[in-house]
Amino acid sequence: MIKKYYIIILLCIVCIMIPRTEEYTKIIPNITIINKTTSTKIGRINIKKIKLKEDLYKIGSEENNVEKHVTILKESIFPPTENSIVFLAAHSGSGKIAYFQELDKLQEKDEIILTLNNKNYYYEVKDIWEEKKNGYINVNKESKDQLVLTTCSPTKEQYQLVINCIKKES
Amino acid sequence: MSKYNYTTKTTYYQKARFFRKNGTNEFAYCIEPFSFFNESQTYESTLNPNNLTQTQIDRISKIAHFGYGYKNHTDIKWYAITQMMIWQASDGSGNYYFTDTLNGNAINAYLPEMNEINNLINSYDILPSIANKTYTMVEDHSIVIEDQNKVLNNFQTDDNRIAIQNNKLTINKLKEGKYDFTIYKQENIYNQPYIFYQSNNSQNLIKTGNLNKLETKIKVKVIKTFLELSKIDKDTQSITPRGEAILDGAVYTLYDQNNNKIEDLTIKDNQAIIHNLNFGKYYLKETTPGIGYTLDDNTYEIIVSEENSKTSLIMENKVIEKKIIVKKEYGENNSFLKEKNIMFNITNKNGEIIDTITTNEDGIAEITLPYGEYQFIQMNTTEGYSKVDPINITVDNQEEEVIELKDYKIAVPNTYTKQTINWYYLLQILLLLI
Repeated sequence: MIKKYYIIILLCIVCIMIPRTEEYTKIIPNITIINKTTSTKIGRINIKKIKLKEDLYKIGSEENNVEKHVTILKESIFPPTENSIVFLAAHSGSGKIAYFQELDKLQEKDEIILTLNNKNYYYEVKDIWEEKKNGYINVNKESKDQLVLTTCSPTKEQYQLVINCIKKES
Repeated sequence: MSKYNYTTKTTYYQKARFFRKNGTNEFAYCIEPFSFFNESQTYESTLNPNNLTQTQIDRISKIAHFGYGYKNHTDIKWYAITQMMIWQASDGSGNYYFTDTLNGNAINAYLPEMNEINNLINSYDILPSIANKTYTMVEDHSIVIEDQNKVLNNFQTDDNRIAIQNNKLTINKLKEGKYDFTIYKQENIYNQPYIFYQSNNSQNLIKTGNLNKLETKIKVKVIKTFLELSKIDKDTQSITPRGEAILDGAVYTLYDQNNNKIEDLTIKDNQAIIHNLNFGKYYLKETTPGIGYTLDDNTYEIIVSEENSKTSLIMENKVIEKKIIVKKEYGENNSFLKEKNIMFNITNKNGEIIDTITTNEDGIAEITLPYGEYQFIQMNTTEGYSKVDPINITVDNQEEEVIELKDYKIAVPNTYTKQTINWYYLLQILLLLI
């Protein structure tokens, strides 16, 4: 019986000493900085095909962090600037911050709605490719408004999935 | 009336009197003023009496024709007037005049009547202005010619290819060739021709009658004309179009000199032809260019005439061209460098490489392309950067197009997520097990 308690106590100690999972670390800050997110939220991404609806936050804000939300990369040029290009990155894999977990299900012509400053911009997938991971992605700027989504390849280790989308003609 | 013979210096006085033929009572005129009439003599009829020249015969026959008995010349004074004029025409050796009485004084009587007869003779001799002239016309076109002498209405024709109306001659549509048309004048006042009677022992006579048929000819030359347009590309100076442009299908509109539309000519097999365009001045304008060509805004004046019956025009069209400027840059974090020595193959819609351009020190390459669809395919790149996807370019207008190609090298955060274990879920299970 005593042995049994020892085991329980040991398990409790182990639980306490185990590092928190990403899911866990995500939950706490989100709860604690609700007011902050409200002030830095600038838009939203909506991909119906993979049932993704997530807010976007100002570049430079604490919430614009891949460990918390879908992240806008700082190289982005926002519409309505001509020939805009918006880069969004998020985790794939598993867990609550794996917003791009199903990004690989997108196909050409699928629609992505980007809302910025209360204005919707409609994009469609043009190209999908994977690059060997090196900390960078290569994207060709076209004479069009682009939206680039990127995450780790869910299927190929050490590869980065890149999806290039083109804004639809209004 | 009297007659004075300059040769014998004798004056003859005579009361006007009718010469009438026994049996028919037809009247006649003396044509030998100084010969006496012997009623017992026999006469032979002739068209060429030996005492008159051909000119005299012509004049005397017309005086007789237009004299007494012509239309309203029914008063017997017209007989005397006619006789006087015939004497004057038949023998110039005498002086002929009217006198107030027999053996009386000379008077200027009946001058208006004599003028009227002279006018009728002169008018009769006037031919239409179109007589004996050659007219050239175009096959399958009719022409109308107006007589400037205004006597054509007195003429007629038996040829159904021409018609006379309102002093105008209409020549109907004819095929290429040479034609002679005859028109004639023939008055049928007396139902018989004039005739002379001559005798050796009595004065010669003329019996009035219809004049000889007066004929004249009109020559017509019928020719073919054609207007031929040949279409070429201005740049190639041949029928070979540039790019994917098409010379055929261009439409030219032909206008007359009053700017009335005549017809449209569509270029087919690089040509358009109008056959037998009538003589005249025309204007030609392109109203629709071939696909991929700019409109030829020139107006062409065309004169079709006998001397210029075949007109061949070479019409040029300038293909639509667009200048394409490729600006190639690469960089990281929105900091870009000009990317030089980057080659692009340019392919046409069949995938054939038609040209290759290379960016210069400023990362710029440019080319002017004719109408068509093209792909710009990047052939090389700076190490670490990807090539752009082939770029589709459509040249269908002349506005310069700049293609800015930026290769981004974007730093991305680590989006790798470790496959974490739900420790709390695991602990719960363990506790339950215990």
